[in-house]
Amino acid sequence: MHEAWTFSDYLLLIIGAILVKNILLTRFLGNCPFLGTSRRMETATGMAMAVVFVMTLSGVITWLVQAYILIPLKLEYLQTIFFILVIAALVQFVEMFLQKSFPALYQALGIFLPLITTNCAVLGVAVINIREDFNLLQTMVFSFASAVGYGFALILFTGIREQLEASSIPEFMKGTAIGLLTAGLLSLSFFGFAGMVD
Amino acid sequence: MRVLQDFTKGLWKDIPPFRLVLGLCPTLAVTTSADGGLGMGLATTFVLTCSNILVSLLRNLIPRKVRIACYILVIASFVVIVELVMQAFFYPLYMFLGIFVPLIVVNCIILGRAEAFASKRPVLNSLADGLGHGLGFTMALTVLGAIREIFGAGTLFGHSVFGPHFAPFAFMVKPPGAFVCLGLMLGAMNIVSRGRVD
Amino acid sequence: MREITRMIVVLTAISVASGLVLSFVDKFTKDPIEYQKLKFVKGPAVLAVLTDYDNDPIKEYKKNVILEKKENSVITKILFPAKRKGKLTGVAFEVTGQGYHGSLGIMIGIDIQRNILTGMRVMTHSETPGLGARAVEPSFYSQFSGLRIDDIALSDRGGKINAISGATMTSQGVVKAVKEGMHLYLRSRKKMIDALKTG
Repeated sequence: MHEAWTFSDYLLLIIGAILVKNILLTRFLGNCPFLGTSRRMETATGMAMAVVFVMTLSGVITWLVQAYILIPLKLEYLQTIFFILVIAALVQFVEMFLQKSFPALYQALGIFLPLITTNCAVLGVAVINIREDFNLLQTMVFSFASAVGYGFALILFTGIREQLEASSIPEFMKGTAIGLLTAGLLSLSFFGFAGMVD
Repeated sequence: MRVLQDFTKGLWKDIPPFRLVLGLCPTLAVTTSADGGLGMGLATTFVLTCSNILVSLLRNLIPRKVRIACYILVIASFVVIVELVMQAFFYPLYMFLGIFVPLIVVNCIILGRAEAFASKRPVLNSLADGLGHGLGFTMALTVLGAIREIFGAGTLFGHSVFGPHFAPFAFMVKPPGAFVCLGLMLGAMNIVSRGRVD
Repeated sequence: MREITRMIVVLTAISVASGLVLSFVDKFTKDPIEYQKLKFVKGPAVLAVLTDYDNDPIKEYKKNVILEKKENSVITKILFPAKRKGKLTGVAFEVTGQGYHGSLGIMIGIDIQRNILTGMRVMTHSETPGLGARAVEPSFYSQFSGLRIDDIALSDRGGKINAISGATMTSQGVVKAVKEGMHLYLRSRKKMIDALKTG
């Protein structure tokens, strides 16, 4: 993507990231915490907010690391190490910052904040930004839109699951198994958007 | 012998991603073919085993406060080795696995075993634990990949199974199919283990 | 204080050890990786544009071959040799063109005895599907086989290439790049042959 992007190119990127190639349901990133935090709405919303925050910030910072450290020093092969360390450090700082300045939010997020370090969606988006050859603005937009898509899928999914809990399901399908089937159906419905972009 | 037990538990009792519900992202994404499942499984096994060995060797030297950061450094280093070796000698597999190769570093199985086991146990046991869980994961991925490939594309490891007149059930190799297949497999495993317990 | 020193020492030690091991692995895998990338990304195009060979043009590639030196710039290419019974028959290399939406990555093959094109393939582009993107179809690229330098032009300018209907810019972009590539070959033919004959 080397020529200048128009506004509609960005719009397509956003719609694509949220609906068509949803980071969670289509690209399969961020599934572990997905199935774990989608039982109750409070935890789901907490995770969604945390992901939006961290993913957007880490997308930008890792892009800067790639552009100003890895490429000039010809250390591209160390991308994985640098990126994951940046994300881990970022999550640490965010934790400390929230604890001091927004304690209520910090409590709401609970243990999900440190868990974001191992959320494959965060590292995944950072790597996608580089592989798609995005510039800084495209990186910011894509990271933010992907995070929104993740939160969107997560909250939708939690809503469905909360309803399911109330109904009767065979013993052997309870828990993760039915969760996966539900995710499959949700993913199928998102497939309906496939014709929208390109 | 304790070591043998540590090895075999990863193959069934504690098998990822079914019993040890971790490592879901790659499970869903790369199992569109048996080859992909096998390749990813073996790569993950290599990283898991090596990191378990090294973490166990260093377990008395790593200070508690920075242990997660150290584990991440160790794991990420082995992932980079896998990335480089795969690119150099198994390029088609590398192209197929895409971003999921660097994402091995956030595969919760690896960090999970490092924290829960290798940091507290001797080297030989940690090696067995890593190898067992890795091979169990590999089996799970390969089987899931085989099922999806047979029904979704009519081939197994690239070879045609049903002949030229088979109309593939494309749903299986698309994202929704992944979720559904995995959910059903998990349900089936639940039935089997409930039956055994009785 | 003791505790913090220990943390820093351990982290630094692991980082340094990791850095050393990884830079070693990187050096060891650099060449195989380069070859693999060429083989799988450009390879199919290389084999498609060459006609008379019994060797492995990709394995015998030569990189950084200096073809021309000007005051400020140097033109270098990666060359893929086609050989029959050890004797050089043709060469393939990449040229870049400008399409309607972005740059075009094109592989061309040339017969060095008769100085004609043996083939052309568009490898990378950002053109419109159904229009400029049709440059990758046989109906377009097969027109380039067997052409001499003077034939490489659109038919309405005296050449032998029929443009893709509705995609004149893309067609012209390809033609221009291929023609320039052919000119480059004619100017630096001896340098290319010398570079490929060794080893």
